[in-house]
Amino acid sequence: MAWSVTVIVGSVACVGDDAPRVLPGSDRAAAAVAKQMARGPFHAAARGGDVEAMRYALASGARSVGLLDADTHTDFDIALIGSGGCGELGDTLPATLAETRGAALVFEVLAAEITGEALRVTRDLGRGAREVLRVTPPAVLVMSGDAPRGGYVSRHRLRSINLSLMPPPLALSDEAAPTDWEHVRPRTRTTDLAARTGGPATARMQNVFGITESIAAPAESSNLITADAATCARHLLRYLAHHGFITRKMEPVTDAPEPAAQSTTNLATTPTRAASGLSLTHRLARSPRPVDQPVTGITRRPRPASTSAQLPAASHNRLRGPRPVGVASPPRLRGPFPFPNP
Amino acid sequence: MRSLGDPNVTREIFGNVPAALQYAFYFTATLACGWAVLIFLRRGMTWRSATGDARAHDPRRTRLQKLFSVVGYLTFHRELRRDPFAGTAHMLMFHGFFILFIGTCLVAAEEYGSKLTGLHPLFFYGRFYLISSLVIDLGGVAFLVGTGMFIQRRLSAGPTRILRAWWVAALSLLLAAIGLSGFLLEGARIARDMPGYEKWSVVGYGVAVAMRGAGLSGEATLPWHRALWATHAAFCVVFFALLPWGSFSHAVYGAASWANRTLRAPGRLRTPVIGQASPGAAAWSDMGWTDLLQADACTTCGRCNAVCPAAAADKPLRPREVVLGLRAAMDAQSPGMAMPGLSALIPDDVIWSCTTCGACNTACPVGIEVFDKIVELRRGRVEEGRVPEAAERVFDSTASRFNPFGKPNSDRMLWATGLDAPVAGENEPVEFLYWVGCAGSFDPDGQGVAQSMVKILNHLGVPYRVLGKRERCTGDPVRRMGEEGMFQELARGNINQLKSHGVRRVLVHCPHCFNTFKNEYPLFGGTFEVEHHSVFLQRMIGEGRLKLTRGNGSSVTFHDPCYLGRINGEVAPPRAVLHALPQLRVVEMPRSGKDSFCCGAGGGSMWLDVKGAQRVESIRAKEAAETGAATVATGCPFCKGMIKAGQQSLASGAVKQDVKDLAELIVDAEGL
Repeated sequence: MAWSVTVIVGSVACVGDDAPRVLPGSDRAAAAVAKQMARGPFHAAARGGDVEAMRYALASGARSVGLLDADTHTDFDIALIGSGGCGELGDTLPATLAETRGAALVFEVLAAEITGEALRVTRDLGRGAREVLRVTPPAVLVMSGDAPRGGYVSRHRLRSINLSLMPPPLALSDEAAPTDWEHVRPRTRTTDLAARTGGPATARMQNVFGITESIAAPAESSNLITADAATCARHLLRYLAHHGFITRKMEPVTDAPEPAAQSTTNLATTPTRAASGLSLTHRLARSPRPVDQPVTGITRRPRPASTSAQLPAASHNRLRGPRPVGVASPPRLRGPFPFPNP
Repeated sequence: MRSLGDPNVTREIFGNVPAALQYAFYFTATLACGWAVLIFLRRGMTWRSATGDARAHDPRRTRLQKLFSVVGYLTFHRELRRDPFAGTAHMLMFHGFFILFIGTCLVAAEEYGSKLTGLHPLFFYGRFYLISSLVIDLGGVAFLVGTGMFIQRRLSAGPTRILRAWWVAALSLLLAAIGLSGFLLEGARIARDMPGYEKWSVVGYGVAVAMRGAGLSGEATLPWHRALWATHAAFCVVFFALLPWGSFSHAVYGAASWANRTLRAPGRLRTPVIGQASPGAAAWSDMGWTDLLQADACTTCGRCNAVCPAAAADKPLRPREVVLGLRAAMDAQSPGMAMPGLSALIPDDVIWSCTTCGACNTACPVGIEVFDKIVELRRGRVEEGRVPEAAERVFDSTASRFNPFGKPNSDRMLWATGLDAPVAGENEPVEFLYWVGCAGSFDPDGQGVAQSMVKILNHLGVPYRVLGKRERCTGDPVRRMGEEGMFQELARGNINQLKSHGVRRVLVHCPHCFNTFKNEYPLFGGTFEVEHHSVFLQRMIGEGRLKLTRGNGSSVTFHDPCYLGRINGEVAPPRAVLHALPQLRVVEMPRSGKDSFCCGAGGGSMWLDVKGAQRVESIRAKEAAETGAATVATGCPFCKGMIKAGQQSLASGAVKQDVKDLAELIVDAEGL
């Protein structure tokens, strides 16, 4: 089956004076996978004025390149996006594309290939773990920075691109202009990372290498459930309340039973708004613990925001933002906590 | 009496050979020669189908210069005699064959000349006949001795050097058979009457005496003579027919290859015009016609394999096999041949093993540009997007950070912390620039060299500047790794930068930067007086501005960097600097000067690591250790780092040597 493949690429500015713009590895991987999937020319999109990205897309085999517009880019079966393509929009762009097109959305993609009527997608779960999914197009695949880059595109090929194939360059937005600071693009990992970080270190290490049966591969499928929107919302609110992001009063109390877990097959195909129910791609292995309940059975757990008295007063976001030259850096937030943990 | 002596002192031509046999010989010989010419012409057509231009910016020779070049080459065998045994064998074989060929021509001229003029004998008699007989016999002896030496070498040498193929051995035996049958034929002719003057045919007469001893004399020799004549003629006809194939063809292709060899500086790679055609060769037809000619000219002598550092480390590369792979790719185009394409014949790991040290080019007796072909193949693979991950990292680092080490360009001056290294201001006029290079800026071994050079320059009071953060990679690594487009961008950027400062003289301590400034930038309009620091230091010592007074009575051996010694010929200056250091004993490694052995870093191998049974740097470090010198001196930051790395693999009992650059030796000795 011939799929319509679109790749969305973007360049990022390197640090330094008159430094060139380069494509991140994930964008290169996206272009390489697109070429392989389309088995020929494919369509590309980039932000206006991002000549480097446009050149790269055309040099890597794109038939045409258009200006990126998330609202109108719905004419695709498979969209491949790199971190440069997401740009300052971050994960909003793929999410919007998936929402608009009613497509499956998969993050941290390491590899993807067409197998019959569907895609075989390998995701990076972090810490060396992989997950192989069967995804039915339409799909939006956000490439991982660790994905193999595929073929190299030489400078000669980049410079040989016929500029007339490119859309009229528009000015880059201020956010994308070269700067001494890289933009922080928080990435929400939609994996069961929280579950994986629980338990003793030995168990986690064994988990990474798939040694223990209890939390190895079979556990992957058990983490995946389907539920209706109300259940999902309830879980979300409980989670947010547990971590102190919302007040407990906002958490709805219900005793509705949780639906049974289903097979993992094709679960990565995110249901659309028109679908009857939503699918969660993961479930937390540990259920949230009310604040007033004692800790049982685990030695490490998520740290509620209210217990951060030992940390500096500065907010997390402030600490991670750009810091002007000459201003002393605040104490590090990351790193080992003193024992016992807060 | 005739002017040349007694006309009876001659021999009958085609005596005892029936006319039918003569006609058969002429017919088959004509067919064989015609066939050979046809094959040569067809091969020439194949070369003409090449689309690349290997001589795009090269100086040209006139046809007369080419002719003189070949005559001198064949007469003196200078290039061939670099391998004394093989050179001597080839010289004996070639000159012997040439004498036999001239002798045959004389006989033919006598036969047909006498028929045309009615004079018999025409000139082949008397003293001329006697001297000719002697010379032709000696030529035959030389030919046979040379052939025997080659056969003996084939039996004794290892497979890396000698191509172990049955057809190569068969061709050697055919040559021997031609020579031996010729002497037997001459012996049978003389044995019939045993005329005394035939003693001048020293070998033939000896064979005749032996035949007589075996009971062959008078008319009894006639059937033997006829059979030997037919055998000798058959061998010759087979030789004519096989001339376009195998190692015989090098007689024609080798001379043509030598005549058309490049006059380009050894350190200058071919420079395609970016934008006109895709650089590099993805197929054999993307090469230049001289590349294809050279592929056919390969004599399979294996000298390139013998000097190749990658082959010595048992990496996949064998330079000869690259050339033969190109030839095989050409053959694959012939009808009925089912052979894989160039990519399969010359796999990726073969071409990425090359250190571009240039030893193969220097060793090749017929002027084949082996490593230029490898770079062309690399360019082709880069255009196809087939590059090793390490190479891609180097390309990315060079494109985004302007150095192959992947360090931020803003850190370029960290090496000069605490030193007074004057950085040129923007557009400040700079007459004398010290080009630090990427290794000098980022590599710890190179930083030591740069620091020492700054101390020396400050000590000398030379007005100089460094470019600091405005310095970028010269592009040498990426060019030799096949990224021609990136090199040309860097070259133009650097040249514009230097021109904006009005730079006239450039001092470098890295031979790769030196080579790029000296040989490659001029083609892009960047002509500067470039000086390697060994030459600069020698000059300063010679002018008395740098006085070396202290020594420690130590010993040192010098490792010649390929891009300084072999490729740019700067062998004497580093040694002059070492000899100027008091009480320092200089000992040489077995492979030194222009025949030095690579450290393993060139051609991007500093970052690429194609596995072999050994490591190139370990081989060189072992050679250095065997000299017993306390210090290994060098003139290249890459060599310094590689030899230090190679020392890690030495046996625990090996001599622990310091590895230092010339500048560091001076700074240490003088306490600057």
